[in-house]
Amino acid sequence: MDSKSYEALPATIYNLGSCAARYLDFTREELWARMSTPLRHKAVQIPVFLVNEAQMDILYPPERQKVIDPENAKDWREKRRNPDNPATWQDLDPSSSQGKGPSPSWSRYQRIVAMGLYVCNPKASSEVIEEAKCKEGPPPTGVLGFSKAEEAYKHHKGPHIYLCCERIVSVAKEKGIAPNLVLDQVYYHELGHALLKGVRCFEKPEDDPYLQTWGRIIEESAAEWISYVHFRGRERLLIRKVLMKDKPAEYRSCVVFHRIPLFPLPMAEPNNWDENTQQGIRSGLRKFYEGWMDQKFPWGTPGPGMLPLVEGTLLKDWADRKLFYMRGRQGWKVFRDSIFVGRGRWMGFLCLPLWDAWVAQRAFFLFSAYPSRGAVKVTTNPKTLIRHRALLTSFMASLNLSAWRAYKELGAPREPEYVIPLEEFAAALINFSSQAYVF
Amino acid sequence: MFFKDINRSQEGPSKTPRRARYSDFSFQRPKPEDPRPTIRIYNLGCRDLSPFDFSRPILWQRMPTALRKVASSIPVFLVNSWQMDAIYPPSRKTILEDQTIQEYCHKIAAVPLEDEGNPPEELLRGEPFMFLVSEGLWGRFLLLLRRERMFLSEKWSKYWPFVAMGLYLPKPPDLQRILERSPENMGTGEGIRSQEEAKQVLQNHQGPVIFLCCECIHKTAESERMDPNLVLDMVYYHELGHALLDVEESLWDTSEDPYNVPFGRIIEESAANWIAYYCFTGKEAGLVQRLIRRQPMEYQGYAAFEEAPVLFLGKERVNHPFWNTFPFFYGRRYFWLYQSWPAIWHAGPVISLHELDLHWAGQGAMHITVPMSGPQPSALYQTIQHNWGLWSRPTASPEERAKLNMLWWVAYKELGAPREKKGYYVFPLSFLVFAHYLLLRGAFS
Repeated sequence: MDSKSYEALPATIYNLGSCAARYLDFTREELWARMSTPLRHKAVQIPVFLVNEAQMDILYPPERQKVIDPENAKDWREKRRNPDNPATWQDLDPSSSQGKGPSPSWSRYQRIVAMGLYVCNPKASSEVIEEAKCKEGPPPTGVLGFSKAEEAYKHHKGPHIYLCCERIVSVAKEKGIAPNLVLDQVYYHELGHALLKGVRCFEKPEDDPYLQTWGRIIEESAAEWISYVHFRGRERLLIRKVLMKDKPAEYRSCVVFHRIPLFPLPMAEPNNWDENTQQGIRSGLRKFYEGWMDQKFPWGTPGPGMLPLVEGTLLKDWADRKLFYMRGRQGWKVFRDSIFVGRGRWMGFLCLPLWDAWVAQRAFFLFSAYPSRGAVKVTTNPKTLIRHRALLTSFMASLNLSAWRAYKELGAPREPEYVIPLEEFAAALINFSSQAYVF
Repeated sequence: MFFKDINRSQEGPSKTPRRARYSDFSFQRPKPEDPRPTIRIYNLGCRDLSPFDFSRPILWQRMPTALRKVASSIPVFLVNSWQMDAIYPPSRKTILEDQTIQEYCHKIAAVPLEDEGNPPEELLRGEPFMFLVSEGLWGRFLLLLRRERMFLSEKWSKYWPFVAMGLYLPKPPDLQRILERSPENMGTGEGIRSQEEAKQVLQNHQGPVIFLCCECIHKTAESERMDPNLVLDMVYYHELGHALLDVEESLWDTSEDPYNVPFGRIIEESAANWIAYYCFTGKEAGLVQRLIRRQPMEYQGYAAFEEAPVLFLGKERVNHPFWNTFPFFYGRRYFWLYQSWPAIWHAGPVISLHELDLHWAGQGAMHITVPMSGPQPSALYQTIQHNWGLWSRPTASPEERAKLNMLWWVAYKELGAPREKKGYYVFPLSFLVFAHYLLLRGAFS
């Protein structure tokens, strides 16, 4: 046996002109081991191009250079509640109507947002090739050099991922964390966009819901959530406390992405809601999400979103203790009646579609770990509870992700029966993440 | 073939072939102290074995319990590409034509939501269908049952380095055809037995055999810049997977072989690739995924194989309170169920197999492969009923999900893979929908 080293990586990675690529290591086992099967399935399909800052600025589409300032998001919820002059998307994201131009605060966030880019329909431009640097030096292990990169950049059809190594390294240096950790986070985030893409790309740019503020919020928080859940322990904390802290509001809202349910789309037969109905549905959804996250349900139960945002304080938490008291079938009956009888009736009607999800969730929370069917036992084993928590959150998130992807696969229709629930979901993401005390 | 299962049981227990059991598919990760399986490897025609090392402990250390059992009972023969070409059955030198399949998937996607239609009556009744309908959603699904037009031999030359690296045969092939293609000087390696021994074994052996084409594996590894040993391991595990999924009265290369219709090929190859992929972790798993990406589209469903179950729902929309009220697929098509799979998966306490079975019986529709509604529930039914809990809980691991799918698939082959009503068994439409799901999630995503 010869001790030949085999350089192949699961993904095809090209250095298109980045000098800082030599500080990054793509051969690390953990980069690939952390990925789940679907994420790796995407990784082997999509070529990655390492670019420098100038190249990234050319590549980044101007219509996507928009961010929401977390300062705007802070009091937007309060302003939106004002019945006389409710705040609009404009107040949250003043640049949303400016067409193709970047947001005013784009320059502030450019460094941290434009570290990576996923492009569904890439069009090769010669400017990018001209801006290439460090063409001559040997590329890092497993990465293909400039000549092959140029060839692939010009001729490879299908989606591309661009990673800006210069920004990754400088952000990591500024924050005092390992550049490879930032690289992994950015790479998983872009792969998350690939997972959310659905079957085909949008032919006309105006069809893409990303260009709407609400669409951008959902898309970015979903992709950020996908990248976030691939880390554990210390790495996850570093990403949340150090890296995510300085990101725009739509990225930060990933911390509540798995806590808020997106209603099944469309909510009704399309094109059937008149103005009044739309207003009613809007305010109903707003009330529902308020109740979901705050203790505002008419029957006095805290919403499931109240499960603590801080990890590791399981038994001290009210929502968990509530489950300990709700033993047996009798507890379920009381709970169910509280929704469908009396004051809660109208709200029960509103959340009828969510009722099954709710029951399934709670039932799973109580019953799942025990082999004996029907017998209700409650565990106090913190390990089991942590496992339940993780499964519960991934449940809600997977429904939201699949609903969002299915919406895009349908061609992102803009009937109010689709858009209103999405807008309210996006608003809830921004509202509740801006108040989260996790950062 | 008619009433195969019932005839078997009339012959008496001694003649009944062994049925697959849930425990046959145990995919527990091996422990270091587990005993090493005895793998018998013979060289029949490989000139150069220097890139390969068959004595690496990792080769067998990666194998889960189920594969270890199979590996120690099946001899492996190393052949050259000329020999492989001779023993590879001509009917299998085809791949699914991606153009046709793509068109067919687009057609399914284009069927409007309102126009779901019903499965053809004769299919539900289990009568043989002479004229396959090609209109409507179900008509499109039935295309997966068609033999002609779907398979292509022109592109074989493009794909054979990624497909003909290994071959599983339930019976040894004609020895003479192999020997006349063997070179003069053959390579040797540690733990590899000679051609003389191989001849003796092949003459006396009656059971299944595995052939690995070393030249092909080496060539593929070179072109992909991968370690040849990694490619070798992947191919070996894939062939062991086929061995695990085969049944005692093998249908291999018979007219009943489901491998020769599109849905069967998709499920079989995806399952075998799942088994191969499951053995690897981390970067190696990524490299294996990359290798699989170079294979034809029937091999791509490996990742989706563990995601969703073969749901034995006969109708698109079952008139059952659960299916109608659960919000995430209300008003959706049957195959959309698979898109919302996590929701079904978590709905354990609400649904039970028995409940659905009773419901179907009440509807007068029997379209379930295993004799669930027969005079006596079979052992398989009891097993699946017993293990249904695994499906219904999110705590079920991917391998538990995959192994139940494998059990369904093997059980279907044990019944002779019927495509029309035979005794109690009616062709399960769910296999078509499941194969379509594997295509969508694998080849087209």
